[in-house]
Amino acid sequence: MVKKSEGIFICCDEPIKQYLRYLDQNHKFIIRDLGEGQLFIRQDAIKSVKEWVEEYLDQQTFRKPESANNFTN
Amino acid sequence: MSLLTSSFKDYKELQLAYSSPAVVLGIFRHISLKAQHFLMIFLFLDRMDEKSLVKFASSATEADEVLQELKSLMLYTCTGGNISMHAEVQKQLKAMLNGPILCTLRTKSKPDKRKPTIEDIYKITQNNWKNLIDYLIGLRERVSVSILRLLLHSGLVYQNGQEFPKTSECFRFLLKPQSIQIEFLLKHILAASSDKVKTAVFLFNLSLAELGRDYSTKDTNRGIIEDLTEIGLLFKCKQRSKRYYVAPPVIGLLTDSSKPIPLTEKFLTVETNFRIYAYTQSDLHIVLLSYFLKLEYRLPGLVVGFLTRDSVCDAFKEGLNANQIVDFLKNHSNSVPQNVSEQLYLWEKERNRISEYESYMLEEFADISLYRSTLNFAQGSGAYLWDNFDRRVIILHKSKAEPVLKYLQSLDRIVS
Repeated sequence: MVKKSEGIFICCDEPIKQYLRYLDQNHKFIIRDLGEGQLFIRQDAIKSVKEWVEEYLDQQTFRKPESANNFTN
Repeated sequence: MSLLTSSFKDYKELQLAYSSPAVVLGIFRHISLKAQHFLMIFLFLDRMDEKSLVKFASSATEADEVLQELKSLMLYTCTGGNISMHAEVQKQLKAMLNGPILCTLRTKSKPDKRKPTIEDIYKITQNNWKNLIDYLIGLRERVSVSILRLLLHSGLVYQNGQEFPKTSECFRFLLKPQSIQIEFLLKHILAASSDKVKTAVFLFNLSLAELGRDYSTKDTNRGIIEDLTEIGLLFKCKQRSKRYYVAPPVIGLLTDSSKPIPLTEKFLTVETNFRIYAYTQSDLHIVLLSYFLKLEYRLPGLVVGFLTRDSVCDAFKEGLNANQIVDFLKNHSNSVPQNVSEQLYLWEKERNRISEYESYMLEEFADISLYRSTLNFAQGSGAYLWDNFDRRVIILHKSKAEPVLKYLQSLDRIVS
């Protein structure tokens, strides 16, 4: 018998997927890991997942310190 | 043209609107060149064979597209392989070949005693339009109730208790050239009006009006005239006056063939180091720039700012996209360095690292033939999103999944 489940299908690159799997250890939102860059997750989790990823990407971006602006001319 | 087709759901209304030459001209000028060509070729024929159209197009698909376009506007009707043009439109177009069509707006018999000069009309209507834009960028506190209703209806603001915050649609609206902004508002005025045919005829006729000539408010919906006056598309000497004048940007807007070139002042200089110099005094320009720039300093007549990842991401969160920002920069500067535009696209891409779809997952297929047939069915019905043969998993679009689920139910092979 075929089993049907409802949720959000996510396509992303491998690094992001690995990060989501890391988050899943605490938050348990992944229903099924579908292989390279595809996940099937719980519907109610999508909003927080997007926030976490955004936060993570912000942390990974390096910008010059504010004070350096004074020397840019 | 979007102004008409989106407002008339009922074909009868469209039919009635075609009795006005201004509407026919407006429609004719806004359909594709190929469709115009088709209308002109067959103008003097009462009926033609559907198949013969292909001879006048470069390919069968093109002929089909043009035919669809003409049919969607009711310009052509098909009966049993024969095509005939809308009789009223045909009559009007023939008449237009003989001479210019005239504005049918009602005029006053007596001349205006306090006739304003064209400069006055220009200055005051421009000022009223600026008031509307000032409200949208938060420089003015309030607008009248009916204008607020129009802004709500067109989705530029939304209601939150007593407050009316701007929507992301509003940000996109502000970045567009004025002619497109006016067309957008006219479209919503038309959509909100009670007598759509009368309003459409009125709006298209405004476009044929003569600059500096007075028209009578009689026979026309007072509310619409009041609204248009307040946002600077019409001009009235006094609130009570029974005459109105048409503002320059409206004239020719809906019926001119040449698309008006957006007024673009080249006031920006974009440097390769992401610094932008804006030679402007206009509050509108400064507010627009502050959506996606980190403003550094402001001198009389000059604003300097940086495009930073943070400032641009804030703009993305407001609902802008990289294309709109690059277009804005290109329209208002002589050139945008490629590294800057590329970086904007990269920042946008970086934000969209995840694409998500609401879906159903089907798994645990007992045999391959069921898997294959379900897959075929899903692909045929458009519900298919993704599948993996090794895992025997099929993902379906949630909104389109219903037929596939029914199919499995009918085979009695699904746990519900």
